[in-house]
Formats: sequence, C-alpha cells, structure tokens
Amino acid sequence: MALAGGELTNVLSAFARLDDLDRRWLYAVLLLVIIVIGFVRVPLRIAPSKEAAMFFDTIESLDGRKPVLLQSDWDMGTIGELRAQFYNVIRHLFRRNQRFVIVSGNAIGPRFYRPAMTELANEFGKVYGRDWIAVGFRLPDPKGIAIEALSRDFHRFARVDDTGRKTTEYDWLRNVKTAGDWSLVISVSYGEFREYITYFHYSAGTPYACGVAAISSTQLYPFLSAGTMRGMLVGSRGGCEYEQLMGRNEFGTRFLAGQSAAHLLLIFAIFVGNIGALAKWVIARKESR
Amino acid sequence: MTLASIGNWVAALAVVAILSLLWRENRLYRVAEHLLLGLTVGFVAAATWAELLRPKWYQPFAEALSTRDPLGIFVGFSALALGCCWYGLYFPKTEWLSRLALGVVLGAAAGQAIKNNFTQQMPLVVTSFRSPIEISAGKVDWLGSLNNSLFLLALVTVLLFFFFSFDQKNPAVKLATRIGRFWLMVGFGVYFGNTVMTRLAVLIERVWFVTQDFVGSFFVRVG
Repeated sequence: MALAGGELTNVLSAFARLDDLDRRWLYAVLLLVIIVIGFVRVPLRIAPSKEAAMFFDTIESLDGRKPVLLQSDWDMGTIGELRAQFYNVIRHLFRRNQRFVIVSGNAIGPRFYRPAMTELANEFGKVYGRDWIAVGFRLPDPKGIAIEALSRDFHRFARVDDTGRKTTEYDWLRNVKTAGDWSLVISVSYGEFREYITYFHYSAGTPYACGVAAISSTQLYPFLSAGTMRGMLVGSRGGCEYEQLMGRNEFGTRFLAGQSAAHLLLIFAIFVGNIGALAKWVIARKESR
Repeated sequence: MTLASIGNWVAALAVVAILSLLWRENRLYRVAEHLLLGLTVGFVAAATWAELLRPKWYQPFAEALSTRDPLGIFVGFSALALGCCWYGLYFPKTEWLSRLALGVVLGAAAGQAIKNNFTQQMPLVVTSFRSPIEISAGKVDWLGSLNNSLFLLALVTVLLFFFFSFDQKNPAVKLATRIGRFWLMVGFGVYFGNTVMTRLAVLIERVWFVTQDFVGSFFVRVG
C-alpha cells in the first residue's frame, strides 16, 4: 500500500528526528545493554581463528627442555582485553609443565601479574621458583635497547627476581643466557614488540607469539603470513578463543558475549542513524523542489 | 572497613565520576581526572625506583662501592652521570648536556632501526610476492588462488594510489587508483572497528566492576 504524500512526509520527519537524537540516549542504552548482559549467561561458542590456533599449537609443541620468556604488560587500561589471554596462556604453560619467566615492560605491570599468578599457581599446585619466576619491570623505554640487552645475557639483564633472589641461583635457569636458550617468547601487551623478531626469532630462531589489544592487531597479520610471528591473540576475542581452546568457559567467554552485545547495538545505532540522515536528505531535496 | 574495601569504594566512585562526562562536563569529572593523573605519575615514579632503578642500578652500584670493584663503580657512575644529563634540559646553560644523553639514545635507536628494517620488513616484502595461481598437492587451489589474486590486486592498486610521479589522467590508471582507494577504505574500516572494540572493552570491564564486583559485593554480604 503506497503512502499518500502527507503520510510519507510524516514518516520521513519521524525518521529524520532520529538524526537529531541526543547522543546521551545512546550512551544510556549502551550502558543498560552492558549491565544487563553482564548478568546473563550466554552460551557463546566460537571457532578459534587461525592465529589463535597457531598460538595454541606453538605452546603444545614445546618439549619443556628450555624455559619460556613471557612479557606481561597488561594493566588497568587493558585488563578487559588481556586478562583472559594472560590467564589462559599461563594455564596452558602450567598444564604442559612448561617452566617460564615473567618480565614486564610496564612499571604497573607487576601489580597485575602478581595476584593473578598467586591465583593460578594455587589452581595448578605450582610453586614459585620451581615452576616459574618473575623478574618484574625490567624493560623500560626505549624497549628495543632493553630487549637487545635481554637477548644477550639474561642474568646480567635481570640480576634478581621479584623475591630479591639472584636469577643465577635457580638451577633450571643456570644455562639460560642468550636468546637461543629460550624455547619461546610471548608478550601479552597493548601492542607487539617487533624487537623480539629481530633479537630472538631472526638471530636465534626462538619463535615469538603475542597477545595484543584489538586496536594493535590490524597491522600484525603480515607478520603471521611471513612466519616471523607464531601466533596472535586479538583482544577479547583472542582471550575467548584461547579459553575455549583450553576447554573452559569463564571470564573470557562472558566478556566476549558482553562485547558482542555492545557491537550489535552499535551496528543497530549506525543503521538507525543512517536512516535518519537519509530521511533528512530526502526531505531537504523535496523542499528544494 | 578494610583497606581493600576502601580501595573498592574509591575505584567505583572514580569510575562513576569519569563516566559522568558522558552526561556533561562537570567538576566531579575534573576531580577524578586530576586524581588519576596525579596517581599515575606518582605511582610510575615510585614503581620505576622500586622495580627498576633500585635492583638494576642502586644495589649493584652500592655493592661495587662496598667491595671497591672499579668496573662496577665506573659503570654505576657513568649511568648516573648520563642519566643526570637529561636534566640539563631545564637550564639554558646546561641544555647541551641533555643532547649527549639524547645522542646516545638516538644513535642506538638508529642502529637498531637499520637492523630492524632487514629483519622485520624484508620477510614481509618477500611474502608479498605471491603467484595468482596457487598449486597445492599438484592441483589448483581455487580459494588460495582467489586470495592471492585479491592480495596482488590490492597491493598493485594501493601502490599506484600513492604513486605521484606522473599525472594520473589515464582512464586505466584512474580506475586502478580508485580501486586502491577502496582497499584503503577497507583497511581503515578494519582499523576503526578494532579501535571501537578496544575502547568498548575498557568500558565493559569498568561497568562490570561497578555493577557486579562493587554493587554485587553488598548483595553477597546481605545474603
């Protein structure tokens, strides 16, 4: 049924009002959706992406003879995206009985990984010093110079661990010195550290995999194709994928459900806003005639 | 009230105060913003000392001084002297000192950049050379071929878009640059989408902290 001229103008004006909608209404609806979805258990199942599966397979292929170096830089600004990544990568290392050393390139980083490690160690019955150690904030800016120093002599670079004990006192770290003495380098941070490609992958053949915030991920795909990165976890999606690869359904999955709901709302708002803009344009065109 | 619960109260109030900007600019937001900046600067300064300077510079230097190790004293003193040079920036007469420290950092960074270009960028250039027809196990992999063809199309057209050495009046070149622009827009769209994803993640985490961890803790206590 075709609309009469007057009715069409009324409909168009109603749609055109959408274009002038106070943005605060959108914020209110977005907050409401986020709050509500936080209390709902969404049975979200996602297929792991190629880059997350590569990350998982890289850890699966480790034989445990050499330790893993893990740079943990997540903090308050990235906790939403990187917490699930960090937790599940550590769970994977613990499950594989793979020893590792945590280092941070963020002054606030140790305040976040320390309580997380206490929780995870209790979950797996792992012991500090025997299964892993952490050396704290050792990678200040410029990161390139610090990473180069780390690749040359770990013990001179780190000196002591979080407990003040010399790193040379740990038996399983005694033979670790240069980049080639690590089995894998992982970073969980806002962005990637390409210096690991230069000083670990290229110089010593030690593979590098990273977990990054979604905002940093776009430019990193070519590195995966080139084989200079052996896996990548992208934001909250990467955390959820890894969690599901580990056969778990916890914070990462719940968080991605919240994120998906917020994205759907944004897509809907873009659609509605464009209808409003289109209606406004049609009205303006009609009036100019 | 424990120290942790005071911390939770401050955190929840700060989140609400920061988010109040969405309603409009207000004093509560300004207070929270200044609080955050002050805390961050103070915390980073303290953490840098406790986590980095004390174990990496002060302790070895003090150890070298007590054992009278000449190399340790020289290294510790050199690091101190070079570090102090940065502060020369604040006085016109000593400004040149900061350039010494800057020169060391720039020199090292420049040297690294040259190395990085070969080790990081060259593998990417090498993998850009793809055949539009991909053969897998003696057969044509049609999906792989399509992928490679699209990749090559994007590569060539985007490179043409940024080729300004001649006037792009030729209709074929014009069309190619338009396709290149289309690919660039796709790329920017992906960047923007990922940016939104990161920003939303920050919002969701904080909103859940207030509504679940903070408010939820009262219900647990009451229950």
